[in-house]
Amino acid sequence: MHTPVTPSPATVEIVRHAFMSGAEQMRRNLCRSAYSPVIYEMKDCSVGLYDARGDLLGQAPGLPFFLGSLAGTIKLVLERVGAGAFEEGDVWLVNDSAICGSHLNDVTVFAPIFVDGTLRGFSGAKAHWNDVGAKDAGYVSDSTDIFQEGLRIPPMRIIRAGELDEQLLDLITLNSRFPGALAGDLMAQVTACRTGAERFHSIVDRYGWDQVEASIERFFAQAEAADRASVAEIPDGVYRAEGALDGDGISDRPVPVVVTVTVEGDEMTIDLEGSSPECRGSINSGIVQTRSAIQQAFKFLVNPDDPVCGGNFRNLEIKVPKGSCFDPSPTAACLHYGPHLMLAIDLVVRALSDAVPERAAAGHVGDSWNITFVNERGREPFLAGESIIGGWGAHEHGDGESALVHSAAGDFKNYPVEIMEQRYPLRLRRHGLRTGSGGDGRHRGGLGIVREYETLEPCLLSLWFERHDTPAWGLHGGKDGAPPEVWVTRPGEERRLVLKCNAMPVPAGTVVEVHSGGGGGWGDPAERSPQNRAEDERLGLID
Amino acid sequence: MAYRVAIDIGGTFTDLILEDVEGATMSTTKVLSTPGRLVDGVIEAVRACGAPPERIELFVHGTTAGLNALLERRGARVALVTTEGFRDTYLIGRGNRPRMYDLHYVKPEPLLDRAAIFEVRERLAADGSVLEPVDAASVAAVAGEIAAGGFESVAVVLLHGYANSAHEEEVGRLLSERLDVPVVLSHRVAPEWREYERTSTTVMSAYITPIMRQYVEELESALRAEGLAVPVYITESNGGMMSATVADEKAVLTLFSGPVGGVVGARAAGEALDIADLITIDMGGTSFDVSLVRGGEASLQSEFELQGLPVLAPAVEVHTIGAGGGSLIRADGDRLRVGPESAGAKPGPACYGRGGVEPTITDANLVLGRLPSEQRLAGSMALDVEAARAALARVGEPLGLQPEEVAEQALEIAHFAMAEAIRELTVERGLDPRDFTLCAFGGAGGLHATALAEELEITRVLVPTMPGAFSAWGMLQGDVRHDTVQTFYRSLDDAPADLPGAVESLKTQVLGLLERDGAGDRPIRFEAAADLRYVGQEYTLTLPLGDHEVADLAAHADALRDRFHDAYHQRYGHASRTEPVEFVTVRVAAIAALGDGDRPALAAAGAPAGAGEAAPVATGDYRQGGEVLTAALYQRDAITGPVEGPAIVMEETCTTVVGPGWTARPVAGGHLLLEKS
Repeated sequence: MHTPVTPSPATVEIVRHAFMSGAEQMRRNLCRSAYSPVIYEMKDCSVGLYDARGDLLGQAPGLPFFLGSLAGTIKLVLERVGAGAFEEGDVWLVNDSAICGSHLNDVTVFAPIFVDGTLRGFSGAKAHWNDVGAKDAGYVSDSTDIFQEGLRIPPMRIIRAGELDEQLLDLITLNSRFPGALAGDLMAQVTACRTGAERFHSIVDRYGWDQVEASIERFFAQAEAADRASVAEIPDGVYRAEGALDGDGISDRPVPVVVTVTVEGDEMTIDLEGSSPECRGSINSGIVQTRSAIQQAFKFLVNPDDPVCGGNFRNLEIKVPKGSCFDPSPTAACLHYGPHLMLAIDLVVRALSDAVPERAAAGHVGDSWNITFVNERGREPFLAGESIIGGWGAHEHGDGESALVHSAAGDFKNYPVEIMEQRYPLRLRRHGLRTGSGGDGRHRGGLGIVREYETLEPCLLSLWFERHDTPAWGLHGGKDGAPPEVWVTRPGEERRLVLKCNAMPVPAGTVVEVHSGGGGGWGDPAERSPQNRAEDERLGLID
Repeated sequence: MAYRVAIDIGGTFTDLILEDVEGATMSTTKVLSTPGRLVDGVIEAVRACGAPPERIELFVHGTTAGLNALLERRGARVALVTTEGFRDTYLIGRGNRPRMYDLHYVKPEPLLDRAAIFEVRERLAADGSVLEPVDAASVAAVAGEIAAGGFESVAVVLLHGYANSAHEEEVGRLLSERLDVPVVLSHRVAPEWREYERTSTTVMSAYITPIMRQYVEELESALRAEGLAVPVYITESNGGMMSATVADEKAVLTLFSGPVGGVVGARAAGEALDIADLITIDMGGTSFDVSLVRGGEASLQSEFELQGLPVLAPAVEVHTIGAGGGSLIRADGDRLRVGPESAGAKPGPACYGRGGVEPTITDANLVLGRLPSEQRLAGSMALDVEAARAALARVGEPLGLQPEEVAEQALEIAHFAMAEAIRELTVERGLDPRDFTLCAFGGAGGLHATALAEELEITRVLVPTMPGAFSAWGMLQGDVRHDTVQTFYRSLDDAPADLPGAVESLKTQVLGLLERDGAGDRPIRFEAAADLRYVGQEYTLTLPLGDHEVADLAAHADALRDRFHDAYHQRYGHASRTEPVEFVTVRVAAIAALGDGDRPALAAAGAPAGAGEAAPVATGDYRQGGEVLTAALYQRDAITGPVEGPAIVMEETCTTVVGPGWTARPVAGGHLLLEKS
């Protein structure tokens, strides 16, 4: 007979923090030993420790978009292969969009953790690899099925009982244009998983499994109670918001997204019914990533400062129509798995902006705004890609912040000009705030930026700039922010507006001016204080 | 008679340590700090210490003037001059959102606003070549605007200024000809790439320069008036010290002038006892600082953040968490929390009787008998046990816990948080804390040392001499030190032939600084190091470079590469032995020893380690694990032989708990060594 264990409040608190700091240690090891800036600077990664069900024990700050994606992936893999498939010393990997939900570049590496021969948990590290053999180098923006997007890997062991599977590693690296970085990034993920397992064991060694398990249930319950209390403060009702993307990369037909939020007591339902069916272009996401993004939307409004664990989101029901771009067929193109999800996140905030204005904000950087210069066959092959920062929405408490990364990313850092010019045949002519781009209002939207590149060698240019036709919206009478614009001038040609393009050849001397969007304003512009207007004038923030 | 003096200004007290070089004695003087006019407190301490100022042969000073100006945002009005097209670099930062679920996130507050940023026409390429020369007319126009704007200091940061200093020198010269305020050049303060971080560092330096300058001038002239004949040295964030003259140019290097003293002291104490690896903990009322000494050297970091603003400057790595004697114990739902909020000096812990009603770590220590109620904190304050118990009872009631249970659990939480801070600096780097000695000082360090050691399975604890004024003690153990750095982006495989030249030019630079310090005639030691990484990675590892490697890299490149792989493997658990390795920066430190190696006072201080057992002055209840034990109470200066735990060792500004199973004994240098049996 199992005797119930009641851990002391101190033990619960310590175990909770120990899992978080274990995850933080995993993240640091991953970021410090990764090869690709997309991981160590842009933090396009997620790491965490999970229990044997796949529920989150502790997570370190990575991509907030991936909030629930590792848990979702581990659960799906458990369903597929069964808990019996895992052995001590294994490390697994998987990238298929139908299982991980995001594009094939995002590779999930995870390791089972055994305590006295029993599976007790997992450590996982998901990270973005620069090239997994898509049809073109760089960030493909015109794929129409998943086969054009790279190598699909089902759940497989890369390390079996401690031994690296060299053949599988060969298979993977053979399918990449940048195999060296890929192997380094994979090993960094493996190291992170091992670090996580060591920390998991040290926690169990310290307190014994019974105490740890009871502590987990306790802090899960505490997190659930906090979520319920927070939702209960939102007035009951059905709240709806809709919006559209400019196009799916293949056609310019708008892609509609509709969210309906129902609040009833301490429970919330978010329904995506009415949104676009599966797109021909790559604006599609697997169910795991869709759920993760909707959890992020919830998190923006419910206890945003609290750490996350498996006890959260128990009062959130997510409804996703089958066959929509949020739960497409297994072979749908998924490379741009983010734009419709980021729009859905913004719409959830917008839907509740009247019910809980103090928790909401006007529209902000609504897209990852990618620019990629690539030359895989030049004197020195290179791939320089970045995500452009922009203005955030104003809110009840003040102006929106300027020049911040989009909602899907968190502790991302942009590329210093000095490193960019040192590494790549590019020169930056300008990097500054885009004055006048913030939406007017009682509180002004944050400013976007202007970043001007000049190519010093011929290369291929890919652009993805969404949310031009429906820019960051103002709320409560505030004005919209300025939409993003990219102006390309090839030598001897006219300056022209290009928002999306795939592998466009550009000669040396081409100038690309990126003007990122500003955030939306909040409240009637007539109510903006004369002092604030004078200050905007003095600092030259408005045109 | 000759004397050496070190002064550490804390939030509450100014501590002075006086070393009588020939008489081989050390003494402390403690006076109240004088916020607003810190110099007054220093002069008062100097007068009170009894040494004739003209007999002082070394005067070292740790100052928080710069740090406090920054923390309280009382610095200078700074104008920033930068390359045309890049006006907003400093305001944009890196675009990150560390609070990632916060829709209302606000960036760390910059030290100047957009109206204080001016552009000049000029442009360098990444290799330092000139794309566009400096346009003197644009600089003159900017100088006019700065003069009209009433700015008190100027920071000059030009794109790729780390690769070629000529443009910054020229712009600096043109500005200085027209302006009567300090002009700080980025390549002198932080000659490293990454324009935002370098700008932030330069602006921060310019922000505190006028305040440091005024403070140092006042201090020097006041000390001259007292009769001091030698230059004033200031401790640097890197653990060394420099003359006040040089500090004026590199103010940013003095930011951690205060806290590093203890680390330097721990290193010196360890050296005397043949202990090369120490974890130092400095615990006061509000914070808990952790540092490492490894292989006899303090662990340095090359960059850090202050109030969210990055600083590229070498500093002794101090990891701080909000856990101190004043950390508040609170119930939150059915959770018990400790800190990071602190009761501070006012209202203070409940037991101070100054109006504090919430319990703190100090209250928990008191109720558990770890802090004897006869002990008077800071030498004067009586403690109220009943007030502490009542405060703990209020927190315990909703949780169904007795005051003593709350106290024990709160300490357990606090010790865990402290242990985590230590693990971050050790376990996370592949270091095992069990291989270290824990060196505990600060007013509250000794109270928690053995419990914390048990949490980390550390079996040896050093409570040094004068633990309450140990930072000042440490300052007397430092050397004059300068660090220089240069971005040096080269492949290791090519064994760059310009490495000796780069190292030589850095040596010339630091030698010049040592001469200006008045230390040019002392024995000087150079330490060269390189930041290396795998090609394509961002994070680097710093490896020391031997003279033979610098002189003939081609012959030793393979060995250096192997050392890199090994160091990488130690840190991350794997290494890519076939991947190419590159240099990113070269560093040179120059160290001039001020001591003559003959310091009898250090060895002889404190009571001799005899065999006699001291008699306890009293006994008291000591609670641990729900049990009530009896602890003997000792006065520290009466201890001459081994003392078995549980025991409490009291001295003027510090209490040390010798936990059950631990034995304390006095060792050479007046330190107390605690060992787990």
